Amino acid sequence: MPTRDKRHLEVIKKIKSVMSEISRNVISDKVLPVLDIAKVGYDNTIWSDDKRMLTIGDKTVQISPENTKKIPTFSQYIVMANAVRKLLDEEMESTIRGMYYATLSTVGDEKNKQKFWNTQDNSDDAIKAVELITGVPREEFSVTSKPKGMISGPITLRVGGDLIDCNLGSRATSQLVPTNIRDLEIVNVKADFVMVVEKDTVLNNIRKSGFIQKYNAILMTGSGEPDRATRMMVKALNQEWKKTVVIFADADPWGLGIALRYKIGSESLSYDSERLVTPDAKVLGMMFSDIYDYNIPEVARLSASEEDLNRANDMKKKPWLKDRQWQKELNLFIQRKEKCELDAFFKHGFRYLAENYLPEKLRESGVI
Amino acid sequence: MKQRTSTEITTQTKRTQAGALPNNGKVRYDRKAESEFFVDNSALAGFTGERILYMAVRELIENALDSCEVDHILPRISLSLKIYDSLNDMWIITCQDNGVGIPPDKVPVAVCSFLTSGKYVEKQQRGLFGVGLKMIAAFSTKDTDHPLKVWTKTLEGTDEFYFELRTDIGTNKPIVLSKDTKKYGNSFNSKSGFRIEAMLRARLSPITKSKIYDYISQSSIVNPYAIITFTTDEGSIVFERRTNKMPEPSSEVLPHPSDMDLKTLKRAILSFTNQKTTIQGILCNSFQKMSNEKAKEILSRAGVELKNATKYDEHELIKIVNACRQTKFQSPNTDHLSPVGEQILTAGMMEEYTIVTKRENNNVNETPNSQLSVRVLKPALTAYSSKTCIIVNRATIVECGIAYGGNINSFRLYRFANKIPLLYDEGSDVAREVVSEVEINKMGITKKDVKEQFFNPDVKSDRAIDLLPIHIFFHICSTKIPYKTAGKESIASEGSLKKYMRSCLSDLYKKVSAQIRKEIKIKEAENRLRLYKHYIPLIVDAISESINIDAKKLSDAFLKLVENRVGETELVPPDHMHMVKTNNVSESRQEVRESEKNLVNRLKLTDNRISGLIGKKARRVKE
Repeated sequence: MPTRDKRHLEVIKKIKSVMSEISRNVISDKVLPVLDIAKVGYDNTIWSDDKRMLTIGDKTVQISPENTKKIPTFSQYIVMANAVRKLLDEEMESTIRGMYYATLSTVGDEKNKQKFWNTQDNSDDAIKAVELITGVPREEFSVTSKPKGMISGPITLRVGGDLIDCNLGSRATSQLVPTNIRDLEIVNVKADFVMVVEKDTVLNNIRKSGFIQKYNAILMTGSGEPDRATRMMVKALNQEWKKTVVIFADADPWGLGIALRYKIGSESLSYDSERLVTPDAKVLGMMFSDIYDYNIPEVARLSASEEDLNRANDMKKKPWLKDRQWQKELNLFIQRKEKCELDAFFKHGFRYLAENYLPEKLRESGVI
Repeated sequence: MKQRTSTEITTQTKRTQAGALPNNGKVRYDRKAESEFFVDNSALAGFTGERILYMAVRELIENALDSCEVDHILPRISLSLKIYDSLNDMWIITCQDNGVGIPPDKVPVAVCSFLTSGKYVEKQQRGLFGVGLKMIAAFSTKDTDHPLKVWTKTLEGTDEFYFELRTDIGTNKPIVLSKDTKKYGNSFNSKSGFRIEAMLRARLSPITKSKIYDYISQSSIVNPYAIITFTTDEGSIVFERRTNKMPEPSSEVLPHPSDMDLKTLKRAILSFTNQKTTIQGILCNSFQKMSNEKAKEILSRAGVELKNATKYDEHELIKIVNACRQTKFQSPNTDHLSPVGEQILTAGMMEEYTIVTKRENNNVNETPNSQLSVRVLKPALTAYSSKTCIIVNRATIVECGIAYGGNINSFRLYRFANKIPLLYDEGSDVAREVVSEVEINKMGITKKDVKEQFFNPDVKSDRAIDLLPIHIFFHICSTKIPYKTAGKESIASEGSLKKYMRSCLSDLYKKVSAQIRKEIKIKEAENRLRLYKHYIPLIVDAISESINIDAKKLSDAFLKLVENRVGETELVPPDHMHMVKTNNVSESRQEVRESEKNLVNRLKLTDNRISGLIGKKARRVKE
């Protein structure tokens, strides 16, 4: 067993000091304690032109039993902080779901019984709060989520003591991106560039076609909304290993949103952008104009919902989509009210996506 | 096939023989006896299937109350409902009262003959039609071989009489099986009284059972001056007398001329046949609000010549009726109505009796043994208001009451018509509409307040009123209640009835607003303190697991701190709350200690402040 992780000791120390301060407030100062925590959300997210990413503003929220509505929240945060401390003391790791179960309880007497957590979302929020209180991302205090990101290609990882070669010759499977990043190390990258796609189904199709071997690429997907480990891996490949990162998502506002998670970050994780965001990533597709340029037949197009259109109108106003090309794309979408998934290329043949569309787009932008 | 008595078999046989002449192309015209008509159409009187026992309980209690009130006797009623033969669904229902009794010579017809009643007069009474008791007699005759047993003792006589009766359904005539006189009998512990015992065949579904319980409980709310003892196989309970005050008995009044029709006019003339009274005099003496001048005016407007009153033909009489209908009269008087009144309804609301069934389930293998008991709800405050109005030419009194808080913990609407609880069809009743339409912000509280302080996952309704611990009572008195259906279970919004009900309820909301706001404040503080008490142990556990600290000391300090805080919320207006900074509290320790004392007093108040609030209760609005 290796010696205790220093980072872990730091977290434990920080948690204990918060606990001590609360006790001091209550016992000696006779005041109700206040947790002053950075506010997370759209109203405290600021676009930084410099960093080219979403960053957190300086608004904070005061979580204190002073406020009736915050009594449960306050205790949830304290209970979660204690659970994290226990986890680290026991030198274990847990998923966010595991933390939810570990802290599950009921509150109140027979007459007014309530669940301590209404849903796992509350416990996830409490974990976020512990991140904000300690200033340490949860992966670094051994609270992870279930891996869902995938990676394939000429890259070697070390997870704990095990070497994992992701260049799985059979073309038949991909490696899950490990979420316990404290144990993860990129050993070697032989690829020329990294291609991120929105969904695993598309990734499987591309891998099977022999794309990796032909273009010496790493294929990655976050399987929809990317988890933090996947985003961090993309960032590391771009910034530490100097690999070009290109992103392909569905041609709809939702897909564009996912592509932008990698490139500019998200409101709910704006406090952690520096660690997660890859500003140099290139969103290459699927463009709304591709629907027409590549003659996606009408049956394979989907009509936009009211929500899609609202979202597109919102996006048009965002500073990170201000350049002419994006404005043109969004206007096209708003005008034609049609969207399309990457899978629609299968209508042109199962190899069309990997052997025609992607190479053409990559060539256009000079990646290959 | 149900068992039939000999009387009925004869009737039945006759009918079958008569009906055995089919298809000869002739239509027979038969006359049916009233009793037979009502037995065949028992739904008209509400006696259907599962509701038979409920209706029987209802009729007996209403008769008992009426017979006490007619002579201002404080009612003492015992009702018993017991199973006699569960295999055949046979029940014995008994009801005894200390009312005026029925004179022995009238007993057989009063009990057995349909449409015979001492109540066919223009005044408010519970029963009106002379059907209910007869229905019980007829059903008992129809379905069982047991006679109806009746004991009666009137105020005038010293003797007590005992009857065994059955109804001849085919002729609407009573059959007296036996009659017995007990000189100075003392079955009754009272000067007078009436007791009836009947066997009925009926099923008692759980729904009917709970309706019977509701009926008795609610009757006791508007009749708090009655002692009602209710006995079933599950036990016996007593609704205590909470006031000695009884409502003023209603007195018979003359009909109002706006309501005149050919029938009433002819009857009026007929009653003066042998007297030399002019038509003008007849009008004045037979209708209220009819002065000599008014009568003259009507006759001239009708354009009929003056002659002997008996000489008018129908064509002339209808002209008089029409003239009356076109003339404006003073509003009808209300002597014939008997509202519950503020004092009595308040007594009923202050101690609201509800029947509860305790399930004693000591042994899993045994069937649960239910035991009846009574729960008394005592609200923290009550208020009353009433309005007198004219609804479609009839004087009508609307009474409304509110009982709030205390150990009332949910919303409930009670509806009464002429002191009879209405239990079915609440959704379509005008009272329900009124409650939905009067905004609760008239109480000075917002929907948001209510939803926050009285959140209840079991209440699906979006209406804030449904979350409040409030009971609303509506009582409509009139000689003609605008019932929606023949079942007489919900009231229609006729004329301006709804408008008056709404204004009654608005008045009440305004009256209680200051107290309700205070109640909500207290509730808020209680909720908050409870929340603290629930969550602090979790916080203390988490902290004492993480760092080395005396958990008890932390917990005590925490609780003390929040108790102070809740005390401040009570005293400091909400706007100031946000200004309270955590770091300057220590300077104002002295104040905090003061407010802590105040809070403790305030929270204790919840138990004994009731008495304080009664005094402040709003007074009845006089129209």
